Amino acid sequence: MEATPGTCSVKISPGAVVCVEAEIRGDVTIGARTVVHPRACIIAESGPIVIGESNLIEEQVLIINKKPDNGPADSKPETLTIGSNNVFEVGCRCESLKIGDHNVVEAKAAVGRDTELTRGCVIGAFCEVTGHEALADNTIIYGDQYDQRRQYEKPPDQTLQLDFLMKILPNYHRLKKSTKTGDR
Amino acid sequence: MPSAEAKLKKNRCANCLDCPSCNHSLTTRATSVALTDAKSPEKKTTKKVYYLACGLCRWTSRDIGLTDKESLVVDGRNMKTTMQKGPKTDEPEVTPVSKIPPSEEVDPLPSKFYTQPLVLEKVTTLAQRLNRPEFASNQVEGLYPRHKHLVIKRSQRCRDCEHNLSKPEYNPSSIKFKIQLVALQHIPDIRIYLVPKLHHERESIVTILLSNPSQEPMEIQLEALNDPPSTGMLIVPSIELALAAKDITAEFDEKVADTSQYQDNPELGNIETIKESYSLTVSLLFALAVLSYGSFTFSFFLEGIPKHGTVHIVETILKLDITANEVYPVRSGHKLGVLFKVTPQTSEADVVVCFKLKHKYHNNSPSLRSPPDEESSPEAIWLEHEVHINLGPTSP
Amino acid sequence: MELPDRFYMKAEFIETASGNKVSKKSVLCGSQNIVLNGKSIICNDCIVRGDLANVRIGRYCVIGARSVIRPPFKKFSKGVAFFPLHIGDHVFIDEECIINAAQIGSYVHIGKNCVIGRRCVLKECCAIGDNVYLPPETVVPPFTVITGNPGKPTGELPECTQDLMVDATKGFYQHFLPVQEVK
Repeated sequence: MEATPGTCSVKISPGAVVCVEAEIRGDVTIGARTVVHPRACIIAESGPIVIGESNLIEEQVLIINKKPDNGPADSKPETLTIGSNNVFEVGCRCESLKIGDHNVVEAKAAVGRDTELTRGCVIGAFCEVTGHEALADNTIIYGDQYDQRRQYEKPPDQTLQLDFLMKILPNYHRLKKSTKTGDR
Repeated sequence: MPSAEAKLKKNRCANCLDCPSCNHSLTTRATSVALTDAKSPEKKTTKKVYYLACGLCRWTSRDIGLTDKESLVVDGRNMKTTMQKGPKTDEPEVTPVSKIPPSEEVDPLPSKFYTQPLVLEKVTTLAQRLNRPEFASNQVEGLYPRHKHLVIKRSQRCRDCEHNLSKPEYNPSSIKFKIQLVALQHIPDIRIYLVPKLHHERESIVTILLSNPSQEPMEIQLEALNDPPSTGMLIVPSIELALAAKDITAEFDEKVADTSQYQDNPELGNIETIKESYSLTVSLLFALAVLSYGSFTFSFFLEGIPKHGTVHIVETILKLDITANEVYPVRSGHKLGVLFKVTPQTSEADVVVCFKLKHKYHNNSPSLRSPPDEESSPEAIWLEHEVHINLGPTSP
Repeated sequence: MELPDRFYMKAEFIETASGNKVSKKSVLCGSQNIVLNGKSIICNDCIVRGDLANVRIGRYCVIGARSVIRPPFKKFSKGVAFFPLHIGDHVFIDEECIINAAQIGSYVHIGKNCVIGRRCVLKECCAIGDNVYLPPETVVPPFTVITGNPGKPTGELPECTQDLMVDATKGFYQHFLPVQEVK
């Protein structure tokens, strides 16, 4: 699922559920079994966004590939990559260019552009992680003091919830049509 | 649970546990594991097991190596008996600590502090250690959940006569009271209704809303304080005000309560009678606002102005301008607006005005009366309250 | 302090026969599963997710601008479902909140910018301060004030909270008045 920079198209794999009320702009690729709720925003402003499989993107989420504030103006567009089985809860903001698998970004949390989430990380509600760092596997950040701890196992999968949502969302919302991957 | 039982259980809940890592309460989670029967390996049965998990920091009882339990009540006692150990007697033995003279000879720091790498995630924080001072584990593996502290419901008594003022129901989730005597239901409510821009040493008119919470008419007197600790000079209306009774059924019917018996002045009575509907037009409202600010002679309640009589009302108001008493407001049901003349004495701090509120109080709550007085009619007494109102800062 | 009048454009709100006022800018998903028991106000840009499960909101409730009401998800031993969300009467939810609770009792005040985690139970007569994060499955007992992140009980409410909340929500409704669009 490689996206070519420069194209301006939304590619939705078969099996993904993307509601029409979600705002998707620019070159965005959404993998199979990913659920995008209404009123979510995915904006590929300065480069493409590639979202993997089985992700859950709830309402008021903002995933944005933003132009760096003080970077060179003619820098090469970078791809924002999101792995699989991630959960983005209501009202969170994600600018991170690299997100691995099984991560959870809770409600109203924020992940900066230079922060990398590896695997199984949990960013707690209201926590803003913007430093230039890669969070180790299974890191959990919570509370107003940004307490950190390491978990021994990754957060449980949301497969059941995704299945359920895929079943009921088409009953209430109009969905964006999926496009075959590879088609231009 | 009764307080005696709570004391026996060291004021902690027997069932609920707190997360040792972040102090949030733990929840029980169920998973199923596949078990292979020892006798027939091909036969697999799934069994439900339970473990504890924290919703905030995602701590689980598996983190400290506790195996999942089969019973629904995953409780700390099953997990580790040492958790329950505590002083058995009411007065624990105190071993006196012998005095150690100060010396410069201190044991050297063990070499492991220099040689072993420090893994911050494995070290407990000070708050986590102080939560369980009897263990004070410095490794996260040593953190065990702790039983939840109980919270209380309490009743309150009068400071003078020890009569019960409030007594909640026994049920912890109930918000009802067996006895509840709150001032809100007996003492008139005072609210700021309209505050114009306040200027230093310039007189402004502030509208204060008084409302009668009791179900019978109330007489109110306002008095200035002799030596008010206020930052604003206040001229209070010196006449006696009468508040209509609160009609608890009024909110269910849309009809306007008849307040014409309180002939505040004849013109006003006219307005009351032409009231037909509570809805009002906004243009009228703005006109009123301009008028009331512009002339400083009256303020008018915007509730209960008829929809159909815009022009008529404005005319009446203009008449009122001449005839109405300067301190007299317009009433609406059990509410009454009062005009205060306020002259701010400060230009920096908030304007605070103070006055004394006196109201006649009929003690007719049967639970408050002592039995010998049962036959006598409730006596009206004058109650006095000192009221301080912060009207906010002055405008430059 | 008597609440000042708040005005809204009449064209922007729908008023139902039972006196509910719902902003046309709000998103009510699966509106057949949403019950408003009357005289409740739903402000601009709210999202109420009736598509996930039933949402029942009592009388004289206020849902502030940009708040999200979202029934919580729960894994059962057999299958999965979203919990129906019940909100009692005289509940005031301020702006930009995210409500994932299973139940909110009557006479509850929730401050600005709060996140109420999944399956929380807020009993009657409790208050949540501003910017509070209530972790999943928290139970808030009556007459408790919760503040901070994570939310911890930090105070008590007076015994007359019920009367105060009734007065506050009714006052808000009475002062929430329509304005005809000025052309």
